[in-house]
Amino acid sequence: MTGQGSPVIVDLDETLSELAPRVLRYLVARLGDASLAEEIAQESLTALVRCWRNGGAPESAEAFVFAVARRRLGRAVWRRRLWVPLEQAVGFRDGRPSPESRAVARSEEARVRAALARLARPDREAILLVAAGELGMAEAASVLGVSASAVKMRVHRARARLAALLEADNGTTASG
Amino acid sequence: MAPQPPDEIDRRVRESFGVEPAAIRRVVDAARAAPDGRPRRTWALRTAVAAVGVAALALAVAWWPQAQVVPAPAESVVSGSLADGMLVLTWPDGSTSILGGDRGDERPPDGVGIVLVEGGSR
Repeated sequence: MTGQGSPVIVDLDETLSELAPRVLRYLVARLGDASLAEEIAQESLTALVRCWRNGGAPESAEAFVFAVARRRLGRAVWRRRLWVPLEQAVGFRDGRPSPESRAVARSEEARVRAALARLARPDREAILLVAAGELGMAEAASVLGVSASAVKMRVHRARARLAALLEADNGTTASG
Repeated sequence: MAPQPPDEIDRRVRESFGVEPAAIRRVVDAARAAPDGRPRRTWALRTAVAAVGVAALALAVAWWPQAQVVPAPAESVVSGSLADGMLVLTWPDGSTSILGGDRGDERPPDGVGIVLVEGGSR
């Protein structure tokens, strides 16, 4: 893992293999749509490959990839807001049920997703980059365009709120 | 119950959003197979075309009401007659206006003369 104190990666193949699961996980957490997340992750890593081959490795490959992913994710979210209602209306998206084998994992995902949804957007973005994307504070700050201390504060706040929300949810589930 | 440590929260978030190894492989393979050339900027092109379209539409909307007003010739000749204190004007388009107040002092005088009419033709 590069984000929290790991050595700098200089090999492109190694970088791709290391970043792919992290950016995919971050995008899945943000979008809740595995196929769209895969598409955007592919575009982001492709952008890195092109940059690397044309002008050399960027200063921080992970900051580069996550910045591209965030930008494309924003566009995808808008595209989805525009098109999904139409696609659902004409039956292109059938909303297939998840396999039973994933039911438990999905319920945990749903719980965490619900708790994340209750965070303030800047806090949610910061905790997702750091926890799901495994970025360091400096890289997350670079991706978000804010100072590292601001990211630290957001992550700290998000962790505390998330812990409280999940704790409350556990209590509700146990008593219910 | 003791609060969860930061690492525990991060781990819980990370593990909640699982990614399939096959998906990771597909993403990496696709990125490796990317051609060296710059990608076609379809998004920028679409945005530029849309911007030009919107500008053209705005210009058309701004121009349309002006195009609907047919300016009257600068030297229109209006003929008319005075009868019983009422001025009867026949406009170039064939329509007729009858002017003159009910009270005597508002009426133009009977006879022949020059009457100045102010206003625009519609």
